[in-house]
Amino acid sequence: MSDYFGIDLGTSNCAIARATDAGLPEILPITQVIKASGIGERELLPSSLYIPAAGEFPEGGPQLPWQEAESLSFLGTFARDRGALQPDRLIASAKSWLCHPHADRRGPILPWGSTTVAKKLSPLQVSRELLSHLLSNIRAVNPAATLNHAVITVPASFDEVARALTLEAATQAGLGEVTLLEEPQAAFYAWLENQGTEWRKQVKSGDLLLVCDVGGGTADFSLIAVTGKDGNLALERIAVGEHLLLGGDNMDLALAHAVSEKLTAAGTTLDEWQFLALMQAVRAAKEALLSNPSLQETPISIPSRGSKLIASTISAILTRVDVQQIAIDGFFPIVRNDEMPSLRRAGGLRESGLPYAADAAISKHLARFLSRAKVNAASSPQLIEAIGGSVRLDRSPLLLPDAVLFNGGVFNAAALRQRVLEQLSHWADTPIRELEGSRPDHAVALGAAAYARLRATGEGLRIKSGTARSYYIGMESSAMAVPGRRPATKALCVAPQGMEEGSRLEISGQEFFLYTGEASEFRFFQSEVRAGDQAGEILPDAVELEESALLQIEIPPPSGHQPGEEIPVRLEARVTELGNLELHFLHPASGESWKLEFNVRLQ
Amino acid sequence: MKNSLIASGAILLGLNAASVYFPEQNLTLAAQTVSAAIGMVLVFLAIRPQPKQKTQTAAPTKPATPPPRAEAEIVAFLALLQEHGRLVDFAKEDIAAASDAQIGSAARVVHAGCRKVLDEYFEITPLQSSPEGTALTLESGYDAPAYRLLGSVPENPPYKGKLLHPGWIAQSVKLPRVTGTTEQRPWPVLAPAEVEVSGN
Repeated sequence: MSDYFGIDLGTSNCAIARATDAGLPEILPITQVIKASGIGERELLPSSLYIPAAGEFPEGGPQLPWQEAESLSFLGTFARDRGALQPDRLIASAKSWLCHPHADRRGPILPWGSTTVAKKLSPLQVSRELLSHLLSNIRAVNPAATLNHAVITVPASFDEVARALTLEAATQAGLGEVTLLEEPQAAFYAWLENQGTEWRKQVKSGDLLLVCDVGGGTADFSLIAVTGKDGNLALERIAVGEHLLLGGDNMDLALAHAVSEKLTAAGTTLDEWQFLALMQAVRAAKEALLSNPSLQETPISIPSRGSKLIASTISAILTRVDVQQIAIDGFFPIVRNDEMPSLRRAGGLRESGLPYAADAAISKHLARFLSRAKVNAASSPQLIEAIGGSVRLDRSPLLLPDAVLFNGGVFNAAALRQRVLEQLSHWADTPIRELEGSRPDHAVALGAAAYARLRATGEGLRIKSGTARSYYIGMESSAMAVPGRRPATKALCVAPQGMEEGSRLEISGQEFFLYTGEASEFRFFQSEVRAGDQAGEILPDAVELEESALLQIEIPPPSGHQPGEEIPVRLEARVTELGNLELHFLHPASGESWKLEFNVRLQ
Repeated sequence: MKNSLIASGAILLGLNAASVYFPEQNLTLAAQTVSAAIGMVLVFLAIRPQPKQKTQTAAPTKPATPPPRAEAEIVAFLALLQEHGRLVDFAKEDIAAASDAQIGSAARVVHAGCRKVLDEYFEITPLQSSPEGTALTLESGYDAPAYRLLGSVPENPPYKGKLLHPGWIAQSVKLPRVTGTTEQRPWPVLAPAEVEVSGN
């Protein structure tokens, strides 16, 4: 009997699921430090890392069973709870830093802005620590587990750099070879697994499905097309959204501010600790109001700081109107199909840090996603075929789905699922249905385990996906020199959208020249909306693309060539079996080649 | 220790039951809930199976920490109730002068926190599925420890009566394992003193 593991490396929480040869995958409890004096098991591992002060645990803190040396940091429940009181020593959302294009993702930058932590960690290190903790748990359950089947999920919006860094973190953690899977796809696999053969009753060929995943801190969208003939359906992921730092935590924060303002108006101000307690209380009150339509308001108690509980507990009330106005109308307003999110704040200067979404309206972000998905689909004849012809394109400025699969804790609330369906139906002018039987909480890990089994056994339906974006490398154009003007950077498409795992593409019919022996600059670009571009296509100006990475590197000249010489090379793009994108420069005369990975390392 | 826990738990549960018997008595709902919670918790603690004492061989270099004892686990559990539900603060505070509204408001904190702890570490289900007030008969060979017989009880079963309280049972227990106890401190602190640090 074999075990197949799926790891949900989430922004707020991690989970592990295991699938055996048959049957539904199951969630494995994760051993972790629960409190300063106790260790226990939880289904989720909060993705928080807490770095204690050197003087905080002079006798050594709680030690996990597999730990040999004393640990300098803590992960999980204790880290989250303790760190909330010492934000300067807490690393949360390290995963979002992993795909932050302007951050030094290998540099010791976290906790961000901390002035007290002496030894900071890099986003890569934090991911490695989390994965190594999860691996120790897998080993504890099954010491003989062969982990070459493990699947780690990443947001669909993760670019190649963030994906490559996740793979690197997994290797460093000792997970061996792992495969990456997009989270919305994982949620979809979990749904397929759960439905058994019944899923065919809910979808038909020609359907377009939206996976709408709103977790604690992030929102992630994907579109999956159902193609094929009766009884022989195929699935293809045709669009992914941008990385959006917006989720359920924002709702709780907004509600907590509203309650706090009411209290301030009545003459009571809360300190930071009380505000945290208020956030927790508001979350529970919101869930109560959303799940029970007959409830008009929920009283909230905010405990005092000292030991006098009864004398100084503060009472407040969260009303249905608050939840309706702030959580529902604020985050899911019903908008027109041309109402796009404002992408930047009004202020001219922004503090460095995570690029949180500036506009809280998730419906507007959804509109932007669907409108970009339409542009993308319209650019490629294959995609037009996959979505059932251009009829769908003519219907609306948005590429509208026929049904929605919900994922993420936010959608435990039926009222919010209903609201998203209402919005989509409003845009489509026809009812959009929900795929029944979703499990918003653990679906990603469960789906990852199901996918790990599917990959190993080859049994089951796979979603055709491939690279979610097209990739480009910047090329200096050969143009006449004009004083004071740098020539425009052209962009050469090296990997078209939809390149599948294990495939390679040579850019034929063209020769390129590579500077050797001198530091030169490589610029990488990507696009989510140019499915029509083929490998080898040259865009006259890279300005319309999104720049994903910049690499300063010196390529050693091959033997028999002088430094500073330009050598003719051929270009080949490869997507490895693990889903890692690589670019190879081949010098046919010497037989030498150089590999550029999209996590911008040269090997 | 164990007997005193059972006793205090039973007293609190009794208190709670008393309020059912005498509904006209002015016991606030909050006080009922809290006393029931404390009572239940103490009874649970007392009836929990004792973990087997593991024999531990001393490591040559490091002095062996004593194995966690039952007391350490009970204190650690009480610490959880204090941390999440402020139970010790609540019980230790003088409530004579407090208004029902104040107590009610504080009870919400206690209720939410204790409930969270119970939900997280136990799987608790009612012992009896039939609603309160249902008539039932206990035949000979019934699961005696799962029932408490009240009123005029004849010598031998069958016992016929009415269900007053369906009872509770912990289907599973997964308490955190206590770490860091030493001979000097055989159990963890209930609630650490909190200090807001403002610099060196």
